[in-house]
Amino acid sequence: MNVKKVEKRSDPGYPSKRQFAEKAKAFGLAALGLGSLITAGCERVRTGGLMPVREGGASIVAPKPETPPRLRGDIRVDPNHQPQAVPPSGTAAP
Amino acid sequence: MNVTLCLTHDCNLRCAYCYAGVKSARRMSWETAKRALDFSFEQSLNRARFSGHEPESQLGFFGGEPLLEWDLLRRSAAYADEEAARLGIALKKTVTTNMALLDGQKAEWFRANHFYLGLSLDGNAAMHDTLRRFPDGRGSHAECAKALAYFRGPEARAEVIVVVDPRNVIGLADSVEWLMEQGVCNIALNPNFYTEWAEPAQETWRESYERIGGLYADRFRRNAPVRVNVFDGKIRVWLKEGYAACDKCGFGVDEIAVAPSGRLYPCERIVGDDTNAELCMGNVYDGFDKERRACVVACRGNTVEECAECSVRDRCMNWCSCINYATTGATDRVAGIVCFHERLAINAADRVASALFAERNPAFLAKFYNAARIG
Repeated sequence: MNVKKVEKRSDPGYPSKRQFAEKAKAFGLAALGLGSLITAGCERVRTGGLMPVREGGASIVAPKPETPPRLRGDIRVDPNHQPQAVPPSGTAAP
Repeated sequence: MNVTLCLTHDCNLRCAYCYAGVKSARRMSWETAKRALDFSFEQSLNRARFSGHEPESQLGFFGGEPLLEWDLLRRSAAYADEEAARLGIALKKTVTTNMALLDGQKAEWFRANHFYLGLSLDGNAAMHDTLRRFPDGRGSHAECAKALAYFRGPEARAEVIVVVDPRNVIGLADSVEWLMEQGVCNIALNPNFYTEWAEPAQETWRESYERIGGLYADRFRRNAPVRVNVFDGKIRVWLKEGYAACDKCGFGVDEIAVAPSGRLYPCERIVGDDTNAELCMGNVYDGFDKERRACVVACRGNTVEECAECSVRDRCMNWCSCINYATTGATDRVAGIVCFHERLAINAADRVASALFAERNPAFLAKFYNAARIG
């Protein structure tokens, strides 16, 4: 199965926050306040193992620092890499 | 910094889709757990100094089954709380458990200690017992689902994680309905991308999301909305017109996982049985292997050319490095099945949200826009 480009798509039938802010009255609606518009219902955590379907109110969060510049090549460029030795830990199997 | 401690490679279940590697009694020692916490707090403080933000950290407990290491979990959580308070770090704690060992006493302890829980339960008995079994082959639903009683209602700080697999997808919509009937208000559908999805299974998946969309909308119409991550996620991402940079995978940058040995990986889904040399980024004793980490971090994202011009690229999770790695063998190459799922989820979410908005459904407007009708 391959990736398929979605050629063209019109906006869904509900407004984005920006569109809502511009046209709330036209929609016959009034915002009740801004605070929860941004963060309502968002538990900004991800439990281990869960695919990160994140939905937090990111619009008021400043971007994270830039990550190091991209290097060319795939992560397998160093096939001889060996993990460093670590002190033994844990208990042996009974 | 998000750090996940994989406390043990052992588990009391043998789920057919588990990606956590061969089960064994290798467990994390207290010394390694303590060092991992110290290391992650150092990283949080460094990042805060770099960004100018208040230091924060999320600590997750994972496995294997972390409740097999109950004493270590409690001791680690207590130490993390003390250290975070001393260092001025805002700390969130999570645990992902299969619930088989989760009784009322433990549930109360998690509540009192402000944990957010991921409860792995594939819904009703028929779906759950298809793939989540004890080592002797018995289905685990009866024992695992008992603990749901402690996490009912919208105030529960927990989500039920349903793994969607081609072998159980036939029961998905019934399972979501069953969970809603049990009072679960936070449901996370977690697709298994580590397997083949034949076309009939994809079609069942599509039909299931349509039916779940109907259940989801119905809850708004009854003024009792629930969260289903696929729907809530795609709706909210449209509300803000695409994923922001800070929503995306922290893979190896501000997200690390620690194997029981102390080795560092960019995500807990990569730890497996702790033998992945190409994605191992060091260990908690010697710190990051900087060269390897830079390489891992640099190769995040998605470089598939078709995606660059796709009209839903901003709402697509093609950047999830661990899923890319699991499906294509490269952290920056998205697979067709992820593309299929993202289009499926976006379409299903948009259909439901468009209908609820057109109705000016009060619960929908309140939840997503904090708005109400005029007059």
